[in-house]
Amino acid sequence: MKTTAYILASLLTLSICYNLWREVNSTRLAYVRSNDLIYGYFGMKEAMENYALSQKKFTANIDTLSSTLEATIKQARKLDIEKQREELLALERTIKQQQYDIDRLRADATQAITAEEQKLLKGVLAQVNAFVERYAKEHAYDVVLGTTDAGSLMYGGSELDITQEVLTALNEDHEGLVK
Amino acid sequence: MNILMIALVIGCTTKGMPGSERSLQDGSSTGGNGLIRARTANGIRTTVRLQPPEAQQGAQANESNADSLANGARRTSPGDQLTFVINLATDGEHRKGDVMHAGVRDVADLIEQAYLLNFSWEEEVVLRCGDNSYRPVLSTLENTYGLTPDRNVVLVFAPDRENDTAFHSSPNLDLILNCGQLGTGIQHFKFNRTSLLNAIETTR
Repeated sequence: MKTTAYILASLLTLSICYNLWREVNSTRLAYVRSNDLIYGYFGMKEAMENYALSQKKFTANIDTLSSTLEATIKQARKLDIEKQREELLALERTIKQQQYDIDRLRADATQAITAEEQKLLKGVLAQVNAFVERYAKEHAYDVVLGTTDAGSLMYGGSELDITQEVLTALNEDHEGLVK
Repeated sequence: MNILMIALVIGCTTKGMPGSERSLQDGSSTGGNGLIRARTANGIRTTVRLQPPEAQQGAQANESNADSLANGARRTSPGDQLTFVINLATDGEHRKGDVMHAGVRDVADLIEQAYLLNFSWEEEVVLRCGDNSYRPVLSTLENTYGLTPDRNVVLVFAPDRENDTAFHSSPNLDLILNCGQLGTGIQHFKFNRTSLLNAIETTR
């Protein structure tokens, strides 16, 4: 009886020591599939919608001007080259000016759309990064890796993949679900 | 004895339960009365407070009573409008110092940032009440240069027409902030009208 108690006590002590050692020395690690996380994030979808809206806004004037240009060209084609030379020359100047305006607007719109895209993406990435950091701290992860298609992580066991749980929590947070 | 041992072994092998989902959710909502919401992104902590109308009445009563309104203008009382105070501050971890200098590289950047943070709120903020959306009718960034590292922005929303039921009785209020200048992205700050009504009751 006494011997059994000694054996049990020794086993218990060993087990405690081993687990304490493991706890102290282990690094809690996980990874998320960055693309799935970002493209599954409601904030990203919202940003894409905003981007589409601003794209429409920036290109609206171009569409209007293009229609005007088409109308001017049609009008010019109806003229007689011999009899209405003066009018034709005037329309040619108008067409050139309209073409120039469209090119200028298109260049400005491209620049504005690119800036808008960068602004929206920057915001989304900032939100995702801030959330993953908070999530890692709350869930006692020491390292959370972000995998990309370029192969930043060659292999990771599925038990280390926390993409889905992070995505769910991230979307709940974005929705501001007040409990 | 064996049971005790097993319990101890299990206790040691199981990792400490990490923070619960609930505590994580609280990261985006602080304040027991439900009138304060906060979010952090890009090293900027944005705290939004929904101001109960009763709190504004005293301040407005002290203001000079300029009764003469322009033709067609409509005066709104605090009860007809919704006021939010947004506090912008660096989080102290990823960014430090004055929020007006966040992400600024040179004087031109600083001037642009100051200009946008003063004058672009009407474009960057939307209040959604039910299906309707509203832009602020008044915005002001407090001028505390050199005194505090954070800034308060007061935003006042009022409906275009009288008796706007969505504005006055929609149960959920969603303040959407898209601050491109500070790079914090599109952030939602959701409030429950019940919290506002409770706060009004308490102050009475």
